[in-house]
Amino acid sequence: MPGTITTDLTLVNATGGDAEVITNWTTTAAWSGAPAVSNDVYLQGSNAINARASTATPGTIALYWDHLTTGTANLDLTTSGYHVYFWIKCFSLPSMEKKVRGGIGVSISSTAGVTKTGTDPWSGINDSKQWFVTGSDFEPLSGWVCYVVDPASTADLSLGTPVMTSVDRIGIRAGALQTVGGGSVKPLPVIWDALRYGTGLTIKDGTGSAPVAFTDVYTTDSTTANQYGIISKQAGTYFGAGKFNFGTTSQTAETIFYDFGQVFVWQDFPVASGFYEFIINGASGQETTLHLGQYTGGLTSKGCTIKGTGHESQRLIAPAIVSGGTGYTANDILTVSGGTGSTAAQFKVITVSSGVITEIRMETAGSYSSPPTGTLSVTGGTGSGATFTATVAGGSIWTLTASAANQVAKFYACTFSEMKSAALAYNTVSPVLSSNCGTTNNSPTLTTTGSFNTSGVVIGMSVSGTNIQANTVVSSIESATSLTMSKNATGTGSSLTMTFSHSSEVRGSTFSNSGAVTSNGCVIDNCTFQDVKTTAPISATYALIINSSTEMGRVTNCSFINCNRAIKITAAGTYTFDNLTFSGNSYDVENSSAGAVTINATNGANPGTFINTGGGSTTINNSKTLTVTVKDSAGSAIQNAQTSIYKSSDNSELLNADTNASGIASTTYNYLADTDIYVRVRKSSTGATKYIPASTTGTITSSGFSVTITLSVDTNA
Amino acid sequence: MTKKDLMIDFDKKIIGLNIKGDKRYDVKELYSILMDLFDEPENMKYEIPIEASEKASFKMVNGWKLDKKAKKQLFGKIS
Repeated sequence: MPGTITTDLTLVNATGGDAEVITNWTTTAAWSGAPAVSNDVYLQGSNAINARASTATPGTIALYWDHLTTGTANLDLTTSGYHVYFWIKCFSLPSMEKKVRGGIGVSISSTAGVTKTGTDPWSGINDSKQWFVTGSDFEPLSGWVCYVVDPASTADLSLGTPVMTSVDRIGIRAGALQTVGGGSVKPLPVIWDALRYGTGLTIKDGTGSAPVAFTDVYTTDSTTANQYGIISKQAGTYFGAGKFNFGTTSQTAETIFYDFGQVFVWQDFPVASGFYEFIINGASGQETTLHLGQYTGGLTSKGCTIKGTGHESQRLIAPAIVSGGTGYTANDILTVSGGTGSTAAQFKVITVSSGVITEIRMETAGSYSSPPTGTLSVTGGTGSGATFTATVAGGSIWTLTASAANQVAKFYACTFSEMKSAALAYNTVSPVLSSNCGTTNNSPTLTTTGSFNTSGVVIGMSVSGTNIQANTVVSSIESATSLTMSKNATGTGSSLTMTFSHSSEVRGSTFSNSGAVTSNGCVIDNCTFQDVKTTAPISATYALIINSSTEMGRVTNCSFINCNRAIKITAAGTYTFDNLTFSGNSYDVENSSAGAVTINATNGANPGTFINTGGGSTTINNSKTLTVTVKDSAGSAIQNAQTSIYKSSDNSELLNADTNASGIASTTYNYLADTDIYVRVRKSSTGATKYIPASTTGTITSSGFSVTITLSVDTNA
Repeated sequence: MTKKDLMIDFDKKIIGLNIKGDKRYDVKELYSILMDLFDEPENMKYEIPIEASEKASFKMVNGWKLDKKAKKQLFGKIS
């Protein structure tokens, strides 16, 4: 299998963290079926811990916890961006409490003791944070899920004073609402396995002839011995939960990752906003190539889709009282006002003092595409005037970091969405194979006495040298010593020197519902930037950030649609917009520099709106031709017809001239937006044929304006 | 009739005739002069004041009007 895949995940405790033994696990409350190691139902290693959570009084929650002592006392989970990874499976989910009240949860405590505190279901062990990860209403398939939580994030429930720099216990919470095991079958349906902390995977090695692909990463992650839970796969779709480091700055061999046609979804877990990430690094002379999708004959295809999820079903958690209002009663259900979504969140009044709310909890998490934020007002209940805050949860986002040196990122026909931001680079890699290549006339096969693999040759690189046609690229690499070129060799030769070259590029791809892409000079061609996500959790402003005219020169044939600000230009200068089209943006361009930015639009580019935020100025030059052709009823050109064009908006004159011998009057116009116009043609002067005046209306578009007007002879004049 | 015989208020869209005596002119002659006048570059911005509705029949259009005196100084069909 290509590649070397490693992880920084560490068992929370070397003994018990892999759930091979029950050692170091401590229960809170006596489970209906005591937690026990079982090799019947497990995921990682040979065993998992199985237990039963049941309530003796259906409808009344019975809560259980089992915590693992951390291997390192006072473990600091806030360093290095650590997250907790915990495999849990519960096949009695229909009998559990709903997620909003903690059916199944992950508990992290900074106290060694496991004494319960709080009132059910808002209870747990002392000084703990509890993230409610699933419940009876959430995951009907009851499969294994490696839940990932950010210890630093706001939890659904926080008790006492949890200190995430000094963690002593991590465990599971299970809240049963129905009786389980009341019949002859006595299952132990709440199961947990490996419990780790860390950040993700590092993917290295691979060659041009045997590059690493997602399947290789998944295979390593999901071996029984590993089961890291950072990448999973269902029905052909990959699900990610962590950092994916492609290559390192200290690698001693090339890293080549190549895949196409895959769908990769970031799981909707309570992780830090910058946690999910593709990071590409390489070493000098040992570069990394990340290549997704295909590019053949100038056409892109078979791209990968990388996306977040859960943005249409964001919810509220952890409400806090701003004002307790007046006249409320315990158990009042308060419905949160505002936001856009299918289900409004509801709070439950737990306690009051003379009608003033003193404790509030979640009743319904809600489901929002645009959650209410800030100070929340509510309706319902017996009182009035109470206001609250709450934390918005849900909606996975990710970051693409491909800006380091010694790496080349190539994306073709890919779709990136729910992406917080991307940082790209230009980075050119040009390996030379000196005097050891061979060609055969009219054959696309290129051989070497050395090794294409160890030379860093990859698919997509351009090839140049003796007997090589222009614009030839590497189509496939059959082995370390043989590859196929996109064009036949023009002669037979051996011991030839060949130069291979490629740079980072994004072609035929779409960025949607995402944040800013900083090009840093990357080639970006035929891409679409659509729907910049201005609201949380992405909160972006720009689609594309350009820092120089050189960078802008590598961006061509792209569309910017429904963006708050499509392109941010940070430096003064003259920029060419080559077939960059804009529609529905608040501003097509933001000039954040303190100087003058001149934009020259070419090949149908249509920038029209701009804003200067750094004290500079912006000029858009987008010259279009306005042409009026005047003919008589026989189709012959009419010369010296007075022809004029005016803007409909303010009657300003754009053209006022006689037609030439070809019957044409024309002018140029600096196009900034579609502009309605009216046209007049008159020819009634004495001494020549007189015609009935004619007029028409039209619109100047990014293509300019052209019209032919036919005049009739005026027999009355 | 020549262009000099016309008095045109482009703002109020009123056309008069600066003709002394009782001489009357064919409205077709007025039409020809106005057409000639309104195809000048400086007048392209103004809407045409008159059009022929049919052979030898004319009407003032686009809000243009003849003053009372001018109406008496013209013969032929005009509305």
